[in-house]
Amino acid sequence: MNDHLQIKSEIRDGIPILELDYGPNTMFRAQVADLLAEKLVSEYRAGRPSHSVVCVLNIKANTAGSPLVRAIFELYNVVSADSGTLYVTVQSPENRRCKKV
Amino acid sequence: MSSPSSTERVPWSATGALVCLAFTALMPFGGARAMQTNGPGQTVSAYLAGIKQAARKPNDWPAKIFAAQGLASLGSSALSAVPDLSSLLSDRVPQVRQASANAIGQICANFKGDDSAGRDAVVSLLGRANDRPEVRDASAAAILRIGPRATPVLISMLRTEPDDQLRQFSAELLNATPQIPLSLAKDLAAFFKDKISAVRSNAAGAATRSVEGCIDDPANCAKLLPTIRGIEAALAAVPDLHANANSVKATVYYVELVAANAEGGWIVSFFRSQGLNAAILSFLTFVALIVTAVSAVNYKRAYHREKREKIALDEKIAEISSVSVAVEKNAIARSVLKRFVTMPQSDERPAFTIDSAFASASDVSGDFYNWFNRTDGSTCVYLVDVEGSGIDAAIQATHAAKILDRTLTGGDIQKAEALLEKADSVISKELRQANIALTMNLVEIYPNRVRLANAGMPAPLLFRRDQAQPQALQAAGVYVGGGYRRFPVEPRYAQASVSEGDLLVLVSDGVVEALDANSGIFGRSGIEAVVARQRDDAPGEIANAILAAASAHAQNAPPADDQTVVVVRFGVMSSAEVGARPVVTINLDESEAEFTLTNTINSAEAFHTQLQGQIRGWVERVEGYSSGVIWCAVWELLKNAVVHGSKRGEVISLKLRITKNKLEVEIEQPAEWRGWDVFLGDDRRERLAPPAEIRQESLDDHFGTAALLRLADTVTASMLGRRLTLVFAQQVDSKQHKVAI
Repeated sequence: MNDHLQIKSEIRDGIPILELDYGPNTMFRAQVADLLAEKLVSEYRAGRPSHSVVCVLNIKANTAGSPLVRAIFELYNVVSADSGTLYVTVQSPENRRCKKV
Repeated sequence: MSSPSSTERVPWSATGALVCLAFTALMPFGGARAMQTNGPGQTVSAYLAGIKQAARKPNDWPAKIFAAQGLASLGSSALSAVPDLSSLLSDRVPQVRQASANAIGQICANFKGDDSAGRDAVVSLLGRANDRPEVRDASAAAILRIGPRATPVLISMLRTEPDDQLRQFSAELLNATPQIPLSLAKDLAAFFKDKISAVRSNAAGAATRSVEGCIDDPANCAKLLPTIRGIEAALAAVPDLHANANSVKATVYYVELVAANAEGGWIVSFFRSQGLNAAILSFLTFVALIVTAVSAVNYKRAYHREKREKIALDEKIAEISSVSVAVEKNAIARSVLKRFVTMPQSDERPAFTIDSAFASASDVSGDFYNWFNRTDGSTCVYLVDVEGSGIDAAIQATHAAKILDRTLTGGDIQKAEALLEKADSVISKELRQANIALTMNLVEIYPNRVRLANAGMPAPLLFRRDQAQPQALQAAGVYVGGGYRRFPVEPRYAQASVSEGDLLVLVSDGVVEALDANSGIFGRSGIEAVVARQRDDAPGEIANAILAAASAHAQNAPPADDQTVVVVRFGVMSSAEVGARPVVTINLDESEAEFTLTNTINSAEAFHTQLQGQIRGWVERVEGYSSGVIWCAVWELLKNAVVHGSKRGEVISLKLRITKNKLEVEIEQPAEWRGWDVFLGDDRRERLAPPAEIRQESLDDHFGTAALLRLADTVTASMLGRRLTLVFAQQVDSKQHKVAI
């Protein structure tokens, strides 16, 4: 029932990196924005080093939608509250473009 | 400092810089030391002496610039120098004019002195309307720095000045002025029909922002509502200013809302608490206003619509009752039933498959079934039989279906028997006069178990994969609407574990009670016999086979009561079954692409797989459109249509059209979009207010709406939000797409 929703968290060079993947159906589920936001924020909080001011969200999925936008917004709020900066990459490292939120 | 232009070349411009440096060092009235040792008054005098001295030498432009810059550094203490600086605004050297405009702006910033002095300064600066861009810009900046005192001069200039360019300049400055009091803004209405379009639009913009400023002080603004409404009416009278009129209208809504309800300010404070900036705040406030207004209006409308429907149907019943031929009566009754009682055709979930079959009676009654998903991942299925027969039962089934849909799906997650108690309470209250009761069962389906409550329906049969005999899931209760909650009967509920391959069969009493020639019932044994033969078939085929067997049992006589069979099979659907369902139908031609989409559990994968390539390829044939942007918008539309706009088994229509210089995407969904504003007219992006009331959990809809508005050039809706149309303008330069993908 989780539509392969996966969030991996790791610390690389002191920077928390969240990797998000899901199937197309995830975006079609009701209330999924809350679920995504909750999972992203909890992963960020669990893995956040005390000194980090940067968080990277790497989206591996190949579909988007407003629930994802909403979830990124919620994560952004939390990272900003820590005086940090959120960077979003899509399918990194294949795609090298990165967006500062 | 750049050198003057060739047409206004200073003869000794080559030595200008050196002269300027020497001037700076040697002038007795200039320099840091002089300003430190003398008071401001003396310093102003010294700079003015420099200006006058330089004026005697027309080519001494460095001295004039230096003096102007020096005066600027003194700020408001150099007010007495403004007339002399104004005279420099007509100097032949543009850099001098620019420096003097800058100086006037800095000296008169937030001017609070003598009105005539301020007015003279503004008039002088406005005289630079036709000047070189840098001088014009410096003059404009200076006027804006002067602040509120400049506004009446600008309006006066609009009213009296014959020079069109100067009037246009004044209007632009008004539009750029941060805060124009409403008392002055109403004067702008006189220019909403000006012969110059730039004057019209800038005057409208200035008036609109002046009105929007009220959001920060709605209580005070309430006193000015007549003025605001006057501005709105004047804007609404000009076709190309409708957007401004609607913005003003939104402010009126807001002010009225706050005035009507002292707690209305929560909308603003809520969004402020979210840390959203002013622009988002104003947008969301607008959305909140529309949603609040529309929710109330829609609720009222829905109430009256239902009331009208009921009256119309009652009249229809009376009309039909007068028809003496029973066949005709039954034919009409059936058409009413089909129109109002929805029978979802099928539904699939990853852990189970649901399908059904239905046979209408020769004498109509009111069977229906429905289902809904819950946030804990479970699904509830309920099968209902409205007691009674004929068109009355069909009508009551219509009302009951609406009530149950509303009652069972709202609120917290509850157990099956609690849901039936809730339904009993609401049905008995709302349909008391009709004196009807329902038999129904409600099954909670979880991945590995089922749990159910029953109010007078035949017990559902659970056919386990490895057992020959089914298990009857016995739960008991009296009618819903007839005292289910007041007369509890044991067992209140039943539950059982399920595993892959198990079948759950729910039937209405019309199936079990089908009679043969000897008045023998079809019964449970008839159902068991069919399942024993066809248990590996698809649920829909099993359901149809049960009905066919019941009909054969009754020697193919028309059923005396409605017959409904719902079959649930646990486990993943076979690929053959998935493929058997028409999920996407595609029809492409040169200028139009049409897609018919069925909402199923695998909608997302099917749409993504089958549509993305088709749509992007179709769009890419024509230059000037970003297939990425179009696909993003289509995907968002599809998501909304599947999640909010349709139920499983219902059909969504998607069309893309390319005309001369635009591409249209049109989607039509079965359900209305609640919150759609039917009053504000077409072609308004702001009309796309999100549904439901403003709650934290509904912010998702704001994001979706915002995304669509950002992606498309225009977004319109019709049919109460059932049809949405997005228009994308063709870009001459393909790099100019608004959103980079």
